Amino acid sequence: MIDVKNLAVHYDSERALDDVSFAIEKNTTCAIIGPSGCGKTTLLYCLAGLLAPKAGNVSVNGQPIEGIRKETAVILQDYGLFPWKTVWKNVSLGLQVRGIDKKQMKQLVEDILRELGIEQYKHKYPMELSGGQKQRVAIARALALKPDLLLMDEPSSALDAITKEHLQNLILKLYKAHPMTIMLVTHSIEEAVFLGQRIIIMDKGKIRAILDNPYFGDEDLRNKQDFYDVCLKVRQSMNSGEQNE
Amino acid sequence: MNKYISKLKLDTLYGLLILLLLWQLLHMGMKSSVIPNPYLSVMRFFELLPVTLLPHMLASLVRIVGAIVISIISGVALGLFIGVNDKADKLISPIVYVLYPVPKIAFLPVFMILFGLGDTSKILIVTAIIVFQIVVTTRDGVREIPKGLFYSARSLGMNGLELYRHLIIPAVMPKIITSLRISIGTSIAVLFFSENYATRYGIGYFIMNCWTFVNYVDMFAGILALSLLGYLLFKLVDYMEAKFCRWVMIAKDGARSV
Repeated sequence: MIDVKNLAVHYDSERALDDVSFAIEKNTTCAIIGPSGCGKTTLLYCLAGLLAPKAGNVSVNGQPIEGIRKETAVILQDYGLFPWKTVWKNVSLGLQVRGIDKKQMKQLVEDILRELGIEQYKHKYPMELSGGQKQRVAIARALALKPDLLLMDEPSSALDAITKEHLQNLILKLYKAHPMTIMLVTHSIEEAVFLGQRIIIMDKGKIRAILDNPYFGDEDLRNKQDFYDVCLKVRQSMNSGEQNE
Repeated sequence: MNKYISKLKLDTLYGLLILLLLWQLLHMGMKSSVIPNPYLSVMRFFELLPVTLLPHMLASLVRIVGAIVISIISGVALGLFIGVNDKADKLISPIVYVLYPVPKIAFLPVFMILFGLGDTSKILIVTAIIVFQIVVTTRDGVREIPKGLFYSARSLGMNGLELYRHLIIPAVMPKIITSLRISIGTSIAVLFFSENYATRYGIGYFIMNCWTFVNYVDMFAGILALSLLGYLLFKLVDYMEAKFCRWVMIAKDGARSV
């Protein structure tokens, strides 16, 4: 579904992405992991059509990305909620922009708020919510668009450990309930292994390794030895790069 | 009912009582006819209000509201334009900065010669003074919008006009309200001055006219009328804030309770 070929992005003279190529199949998940400044967010923005690459191609469903794609939903790192809009208005915003009729929009928003268990907050403003609740609102806003591709930038980085796991469980559950392709950027190895069917390890604007995660999809994975084995594998391939330099 | 609106009323009553108390103390302490008895002045105000004061107040109100409306529309439009467009900012902001500190009130005679002695010159002098404030705060407001929100808006598929409607205008609204609040004080002061010239209507004229007749009680009734005018405009801005910027009021509440 996603095809990235020889992608390069420069910020001034600095190379944020350098000759990045990979492919992701439809309705699978992929986690991009790497240290800060490795270019993972830049890569996500290119996939979202928010950033134009300097060189190379990004295509989704065979169509080259030239700006925002209607069926792609993006959840940004700081949730990207508008502080002047209530939860309801934030969630309905994407639908409103797409010109969906009011009645249908109301139904879609009510359904998604219920599914995410945030119905009772619909008249609240983002600043009245906790981090975990805000993240649910951001997810609701993305899912309301019924996307075939969901991009997430560090979905749980601002949350405490317990909320983080709840949120990861929720994302997995939603993925199973709504077939879509998910790409998420993270700096947490556990998150990458729990949510990534495929794990792309990045460093300094390049892809260091791509690992397949055969255990993906098990909700109980964190309680199994396999989980830690994969985590160790990811950690080792992240570290191996550092030693080579 | 919006709780922020009902709270405004109680605050007002309290402020008013303190003000009257201070006035009474000043009246008793100064023992001068220049600070008349508040009770007499207030009674005189109500006596003069329907026939004498109301037309003056109305004349002043039209001038102030006219100036504010012109300033808001042109100031916000220009502020948004240079806030969004870097090239325009480089070309226009230096001009705004040079003009900002110039005491425009000194150009009142020029305004009267160019735009006539009537309402036009009075409205334009007030506009010329308050519009800069609005331009600068609006522009700064646009610049302070976090970049992430622009990404968020664009990722939802918003185009130019929708960006203004859902992101830029709501984000700068609290700034516009603040600059409006400051502008009202300034505009009343400027208007008072400009109404000393070439008019027989306007509360500024009324006050200065009473002064020349050494009628301090009437003069204070006029000052009350002018204050009331300013107060009503101020409350209108508060009301607008409670109505259009509820999220800011909630944020302030949250900050206080922490």
